[in-house]
Amino acid sequence: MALLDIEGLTVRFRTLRGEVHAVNGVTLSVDEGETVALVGESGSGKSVTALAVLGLLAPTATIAAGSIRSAGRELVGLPGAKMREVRGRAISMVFQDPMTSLNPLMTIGAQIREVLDAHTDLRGRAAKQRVVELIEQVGIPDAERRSFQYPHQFSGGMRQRAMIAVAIACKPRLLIADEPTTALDVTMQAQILGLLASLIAEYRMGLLLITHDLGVVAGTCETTNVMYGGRIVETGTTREIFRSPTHPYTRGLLGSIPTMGGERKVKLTAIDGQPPVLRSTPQGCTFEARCANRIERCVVEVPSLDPVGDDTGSMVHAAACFNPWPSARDGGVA
Amino acid sequence: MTAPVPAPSVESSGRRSDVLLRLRRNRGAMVGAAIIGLIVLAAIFAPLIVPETPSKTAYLSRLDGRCCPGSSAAHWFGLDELGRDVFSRVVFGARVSLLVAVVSVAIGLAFGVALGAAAGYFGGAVDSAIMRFIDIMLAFPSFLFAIGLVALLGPGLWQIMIAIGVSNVPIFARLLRGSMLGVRQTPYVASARVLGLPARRVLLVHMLPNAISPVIVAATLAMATAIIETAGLGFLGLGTADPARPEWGVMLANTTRYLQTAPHLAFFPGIAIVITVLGFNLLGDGLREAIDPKLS
Amino acid sequence: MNGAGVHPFTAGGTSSAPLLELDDLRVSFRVKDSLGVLRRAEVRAVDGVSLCVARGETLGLVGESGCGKSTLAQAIVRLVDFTGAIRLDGHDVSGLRRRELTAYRRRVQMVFQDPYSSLNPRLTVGRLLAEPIQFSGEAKGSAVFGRVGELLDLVGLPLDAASRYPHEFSGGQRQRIGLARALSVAPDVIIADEPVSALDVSVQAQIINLLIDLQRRLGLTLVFIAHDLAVVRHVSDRVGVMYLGKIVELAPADDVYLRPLHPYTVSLLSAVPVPDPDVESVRQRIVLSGEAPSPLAVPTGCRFHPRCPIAKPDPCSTREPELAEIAPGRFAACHFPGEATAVTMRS
Repeated sequence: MALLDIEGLTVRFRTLRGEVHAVNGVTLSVDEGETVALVGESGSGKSVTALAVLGLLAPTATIAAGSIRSAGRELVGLPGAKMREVRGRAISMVFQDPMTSLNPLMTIGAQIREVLDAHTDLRGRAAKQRVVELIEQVGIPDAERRSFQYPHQFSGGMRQRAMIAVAIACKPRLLIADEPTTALDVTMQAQILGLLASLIAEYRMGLLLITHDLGVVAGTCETTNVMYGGRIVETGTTREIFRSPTHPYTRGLLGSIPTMGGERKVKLTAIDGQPPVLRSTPQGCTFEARCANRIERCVVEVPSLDPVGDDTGSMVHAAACFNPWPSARDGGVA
Repeated sequence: MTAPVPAPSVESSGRRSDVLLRLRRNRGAMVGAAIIGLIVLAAIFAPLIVPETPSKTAYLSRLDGRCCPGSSAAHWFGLDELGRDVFSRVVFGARVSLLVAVVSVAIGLAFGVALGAAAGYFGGAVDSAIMRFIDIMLAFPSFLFAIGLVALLGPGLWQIMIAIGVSNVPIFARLLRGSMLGVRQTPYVASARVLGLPARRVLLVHMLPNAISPVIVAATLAMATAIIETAGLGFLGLGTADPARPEWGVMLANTTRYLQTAPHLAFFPGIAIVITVLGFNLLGDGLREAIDPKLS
Repeated sequence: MNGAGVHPFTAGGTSSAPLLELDDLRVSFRVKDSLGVLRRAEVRAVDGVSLCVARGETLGLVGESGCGKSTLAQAIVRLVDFTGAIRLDGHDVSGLRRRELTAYRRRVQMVFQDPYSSLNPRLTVGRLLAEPIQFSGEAKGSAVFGRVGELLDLVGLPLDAASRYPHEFSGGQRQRIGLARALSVAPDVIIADEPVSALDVSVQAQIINLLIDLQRRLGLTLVFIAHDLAVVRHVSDRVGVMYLGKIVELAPADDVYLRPLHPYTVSLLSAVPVPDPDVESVRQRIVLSGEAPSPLAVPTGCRFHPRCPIAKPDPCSTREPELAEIAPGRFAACHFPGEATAVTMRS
């Protein structure tokens, strides 16, 4: 049974100018010990998907369709009290900006305590001990003294570690990390990603990593889902997708990133246009306007995720495209 | 474990059109706008609406030495102690109240914006000096200042308008200064400076229009306060005694003796004050919400 | 000035004088404590930076937060006070005021990071582009309109953009507008402070291409500041690495990325994630421990020594290394330049 099983998730937002479809029919899963990436840019719906799992969407949002199951249990429509049991305990989340996701008026120790109080029986000295343990575990030196400090007394990287400590306090089965290192320097990013990797290994957690950084994905996740305009456009093992991207968006994205080894000062192969402005469900493929592989069908029909090439592995490499690039296994050029 | 959750931004929302859209959807703001609209219309068309001029007295109405008949078909709000039609006086009173509201807020804006802009733009010593001056002004209770002014120049509408206007100056100044400090940090202001644009242009075109919104909200609310203060000052006897310009507060002042027997004398001017103030407050709050919406 | 008394930092040591020179540039801020009182403690955001930029070259500046690169950018465009000298075409522009300052401003322009707050929301794009032209006297009257059209075309925007407001455009488009605005006064030098960091990945390439293209077409000199090492590598001729207010390495791009001399550069490079799972799974990382110290408490001696994988107590903790030419055109501020690479190889 998968740790997380999202199927056909559709999320709509009520805005000033009408309804917006932020997420349209997203399906993905995370198993125990598996690291899954959800990659996308602005307007892709990746963050909304993550927030939907934990029922943290704004009141203007509705889950119009689909299901989200955690270890077999349906989370959509779960009453508040039951959802609170899940949050922090079975599924935990780490956010992008530790400055706003940690309560500035509570000490770090108190915030960790809070989670322990809510979900465990640890009290008093045992709880305090666990708090110090956790702070040490996330690599904050001088743990006991720092447990009495406030978030503003920590630097950016330390705050992120503190947030991770809060998230793993109750040993959740699944950790969702929404752009956990985007706001950090590259050296700090390496540290935090290393920390996450070791924690996941130790606790045998599943990780759903939301990010726009393909480098981070390549170094961290086994499975990759690429999102665009509210839909998943390509999915498969990270290796497979990077080696042989078939969806024009994925391919374009990988081709447009300057690398550390390529030729310098040449024109990058950029994708034309800009990420989509979310509206009511567009007809046809959301990427069509920017796609070099566009054919007539793309404008009117929505492509479904279909396996590409000759799938032999356990993980299906699929892309939602009517005119994808050939997979390397088909003899196409990667 | 709850995190603040922003809804996805649709296409970058146009500020002015979005503000108006949100305003139109805000029921409170629309009610407020309607109220103000009505009162403004009543004030403008006052002579056409009322049955008699507000100063027309009728001694014949003082029957049996008792005062003040209440509402009747001929006189909707009844008559006051001098036999004048209360309805006419209330409607004409709107003119006075609105005039004072607009003029006093205008005075406050004229000086407040100038001071606040200077403080916010120059910063440093200029800012400190202006702010200390503002602090001193704020320490003066506006009522006392009004009383002092009246003692100096005698009671009158202009005195009230100046007094209230002056008391608005530090409020607007401080508000604008704060807003300017924020705008000063923005890249678009830095860009204007880096492009070598003259200081005056940076201030007037790039900083001021973007910093003025909170002041607009405050100005709307200040109109409400001005009306209350005018009424208060009028009640204290510092207002105008000109019978051709009835003022709601002055009307209230004359009613204390008759409250038992003729409550309508206090009720109608009082209600007029409440409704007008409510109108401005609703609109002001609505404006604040529309300009800077908080997510529910 | 370094010990040699001349400025050796020009690209490849060309004989032509550098266009832009920085000489021992320092920017510091006094810190306010919680009561808002200015204390004596100083933040030395830029702590003695000297470098040259040759005409037509792109100098990249990388570093992490707190290294001072953005402050350096602001100093070059005279948005903050500084000590030391800035020379344009050999003329000292540090003390300029008023009209001469305005003249300097026309030659050195800036592109800002955040496309959502770098354009005045109340002006149309047309006015935003016309404004600097009008005030600089570049063109007058109806000629201005023509020039605005040229600028829009230059940055790849349609002519009808002129009548629209910034909020009607996407991030990438706004950056184009910002670029057009900077170009409207026909500058010689553009300081680009994180010009693509706030953009979506798929749009970054467009803007990078635009910058490269414009530089070639207009002969611009570019100072490209960013924290994304791959992007900087792609656009720059030479790259400078900053740490805590100083330049710790300065060399041609290929040298910095393939043969880094300074241990910080080495760790920085090893921390950058590469979008290639095969590479990622085998690479060895030097993961720096701890974090960069606060600019309020700069370490004695070499400022990197507390975190340096190859630091030795003497002289690293006692003597601050100078930015010296280790090989022709390659500078590093380290007592043991080039040794960190050996460490990586071993681990």
